[in-house]
Amino acid sequence: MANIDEKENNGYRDLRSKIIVAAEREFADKSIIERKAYAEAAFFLMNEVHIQNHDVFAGNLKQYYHLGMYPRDMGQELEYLANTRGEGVQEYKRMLTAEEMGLFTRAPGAHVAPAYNVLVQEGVQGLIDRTRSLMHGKAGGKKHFYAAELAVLCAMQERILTYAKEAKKQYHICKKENLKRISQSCQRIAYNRPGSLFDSIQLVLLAHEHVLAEAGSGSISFGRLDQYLYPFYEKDLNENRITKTGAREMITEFWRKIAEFEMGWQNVTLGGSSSDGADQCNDLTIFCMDASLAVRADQPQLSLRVHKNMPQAVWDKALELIGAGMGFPELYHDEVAVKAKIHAGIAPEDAWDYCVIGCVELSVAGKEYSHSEGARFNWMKILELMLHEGKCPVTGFSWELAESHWLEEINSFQEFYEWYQRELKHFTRFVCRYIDDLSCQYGDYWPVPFLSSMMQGCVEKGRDVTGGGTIYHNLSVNCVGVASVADSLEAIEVLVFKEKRMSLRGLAAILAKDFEGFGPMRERMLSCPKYGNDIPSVDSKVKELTGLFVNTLSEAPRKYGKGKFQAGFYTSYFHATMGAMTGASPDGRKAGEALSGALSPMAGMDKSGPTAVVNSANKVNMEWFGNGMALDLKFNADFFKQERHRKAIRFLIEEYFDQGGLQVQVNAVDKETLLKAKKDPVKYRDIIVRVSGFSAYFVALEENLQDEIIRRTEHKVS
Amino acid sequence: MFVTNIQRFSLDDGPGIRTTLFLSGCNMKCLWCHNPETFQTVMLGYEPDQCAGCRSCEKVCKNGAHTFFGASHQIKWNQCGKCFQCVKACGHQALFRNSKEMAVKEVISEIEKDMRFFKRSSGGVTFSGGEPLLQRQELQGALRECKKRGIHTAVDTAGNYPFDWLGPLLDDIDVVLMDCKAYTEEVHIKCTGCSNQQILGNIQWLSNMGKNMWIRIPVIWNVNVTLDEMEKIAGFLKGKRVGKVELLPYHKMGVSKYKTYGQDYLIDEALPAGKGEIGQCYEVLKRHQIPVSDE
Repeated sequence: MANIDEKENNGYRDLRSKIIVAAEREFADKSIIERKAYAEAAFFLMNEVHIQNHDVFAGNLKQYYHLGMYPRDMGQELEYLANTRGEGVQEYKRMLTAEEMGLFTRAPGAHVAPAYNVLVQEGVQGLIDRTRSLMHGKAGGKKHFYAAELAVLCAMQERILTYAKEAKKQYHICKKENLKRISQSCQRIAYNRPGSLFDSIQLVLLAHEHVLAEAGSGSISFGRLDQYLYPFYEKDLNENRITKTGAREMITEFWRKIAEFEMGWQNVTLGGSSSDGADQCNDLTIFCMDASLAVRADQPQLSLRVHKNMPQAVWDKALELIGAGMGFPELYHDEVAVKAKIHAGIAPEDAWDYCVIGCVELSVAGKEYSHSEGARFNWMKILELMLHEGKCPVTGFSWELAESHWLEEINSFQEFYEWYQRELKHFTRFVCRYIDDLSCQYGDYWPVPFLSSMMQGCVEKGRDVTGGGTIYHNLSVNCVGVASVADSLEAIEVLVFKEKRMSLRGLAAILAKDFEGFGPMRERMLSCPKYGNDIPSVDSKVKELTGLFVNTLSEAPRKYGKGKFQAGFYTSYFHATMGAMTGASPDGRKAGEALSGALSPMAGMDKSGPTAVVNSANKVNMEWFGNGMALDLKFNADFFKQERHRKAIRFLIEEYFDQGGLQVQVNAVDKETLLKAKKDPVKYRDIIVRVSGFSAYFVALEENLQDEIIRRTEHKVS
Repeated sequence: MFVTNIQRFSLDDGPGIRTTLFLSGCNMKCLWCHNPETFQTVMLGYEPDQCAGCRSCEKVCKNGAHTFFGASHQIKWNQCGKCFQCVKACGHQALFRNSKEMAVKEVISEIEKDMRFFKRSSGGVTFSGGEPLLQRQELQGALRECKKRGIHTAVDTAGNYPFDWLGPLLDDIDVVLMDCKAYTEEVHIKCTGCSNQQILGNIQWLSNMGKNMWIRIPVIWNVNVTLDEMEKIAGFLKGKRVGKVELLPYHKMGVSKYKTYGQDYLIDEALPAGKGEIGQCYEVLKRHQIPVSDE
């Protein structure tokens, strides 16, 4: 993987901010959306285009690597809110404390799949014409919006032409056919609808470049790429303008371009079925996976929509790719994902067209803008605050809980458990109110005119994406440490209330000391039942708490906007960062260690094999998780070498899906991880490796055997 | 029923996704055995890394099996009376039992947890060991309960016993996974400590009865298997009704467990059979028209 050239990137950042500051000054008398659009347009026009003479497609994503987002942080966001609303926002100040103590975080905006499917149908000129006709007769704020839209779209058109010129110039120097092709393609797509696979990829890539530049962050996803590109491929094929191999190579080159934007969470959704169960996989579904095998980069991330009639060839290719050890395609179960989107208020016909954005968030390309990272909070922190009378033992900050109780007054587990449930509910409600209030100002301060031109509904309504222009605009709330909390409650039930080995106060004291001097007690906590082992008492806690959380979201009112609140059970990397801010917990986890991720068992605690993990996870109702979820399974890469093992994984996944599973990601573990596993076996206890003739947990193996397996993996890589 | 381990999602002990139960106790002692925790029905195990040197075990042991030299904990294995008081006293999980005694009902409820995966993958349950036939009464009960529930059953056995141990169970076994560790009796005695006459007889028996049987041959090159020995095994298996033959390459998986259970490992220097040798062995079997696994 190429490293990001920090210096080069800083150069772009400087240029961008200079241009934007200058443009904003120049257009100070205009509306905010126009100012933003003119600045964006100026950047499109002034930022030089770069084409290297081996490029197959024009476009350069690398330069936009995380240019920085607006608003800068929660503090700035609150400042602006105080300016607009004046009173009533004082209570939200404490969310800054919540962020510092690892209870809450948010990163709104971005995270969207633009309507590239519409773009390739209509072309840039089509979008411009539509905007012009809708603008007709509009006045006031709406007029400003349309002016803004026209500015960015025309700037994009101009930039495509600049690419054409630059490619032509370079072609005259080195006479490389690929440059001629780029030049001709750009010339065509600036004004016309794309008529071939090549032209449509080129157009999507350049539009993507602009969306990234404006967003200043990652998680801009491609939607159902194999679906919207297929008509072009089919036409090319029928008219003998392309071969299958040629198409595969074209996608591979496209992939290389996308891979320039590392760590970009750019998701491509593949496969799927229509509402009547008809399979929608096609040649491109497979070519996209082939391209990932060829490029072997972290980007794009592939998500495969799985359904009952998915062809064998697609399954085979998916398992081959998973076995290659990159952790994708992530697999989604159509039936459950669609139900989850419907639960989040999406119309059934759109829900059937869902795609995956960013990490694992479910969305409808071009139609939904749901702040998928709009809120994320740490379930364990709430439990920790309860045990420490509202005082965070890590930072020392105080936090006012909904109720305060003396730990000595709590006489049964049920009392404690119900208290936790009330606190969870209370905080969830507060979070909903908070993000709803914040959402009202985005259109006023941080509009994204170019993205708005790429989304359906905005131009029709004359409103920016951030101002509720899209057809769907939910708000999302995500959870961290679900399994950790269930495991902790289970340990409290067993050790404090059933076996009476200590009081709640005594437990709090042990945790405050990070188990120092209480080794055997920690062992007992660790050996209490854990989620992921198919044990009803603890699995039911995960089921109840996730259910409670989702119900609370469903009941929460929205003051601004018509959307709903949708639940997400994925943690990105926040289970580690929030874990670092969380003290020792009753499940035996030491202070600062990562919490459980997504809806997966606590790392290393699922000791009964993958069928047990699946059994546990299947107890949870995932049809409510409109913002997506993840379940991790890890296997050694060698595990995938044998056909009957790949078959077994497929059986496992199909069974999980049939019983209500929404998403699963299967990791084929690489050498690096195994080396880490060897050094730190406790953390990697759940990796399954194929030894020879049998499977076993890697860390249960003896050192020399581990070495042997590490060597084997090395052979495979070289 | 004494069980050392229940391995779910087991893919290499019979068809499909299986749950494999390892029953403790064995009447052979194969040099390469990777399950030393199954040598006897109940055994004491000790993990030095977990030991905090608290000496709780020393206090409760009536036989003086635990001694300490400073912080160093020494176990006199032959003095252990298997009362397991020390296991109860140990707060650090350094001491443990090799096996857990489970009622048939408990065993079945563990097995049933993965029923849906068995059904989907045409898998089931495998009883392995140790020698599971040493607990044949409980085994029979468990097999019968499995069959009642429509679960596919396999028994992984070394076959070193009179046929009437296995005979009464056959109706409830779908596939017998039978070891064949050597054909030449002296080689077998040298490697396992006992004659193979009963084993070969049992293979003959099962073949005569038309029982579905897979033969499993561990390959520890130049210990139990040479090309010559493989020829002899193949000659013996030729013409018998064998579902398939699997070769199990040698691995050192069990070596660390020997120390845990106070046992001596006798062939530390043996090298894993390379791909070439395993391939040659498969060639021999194929030449004799013996069905082999896809591996």
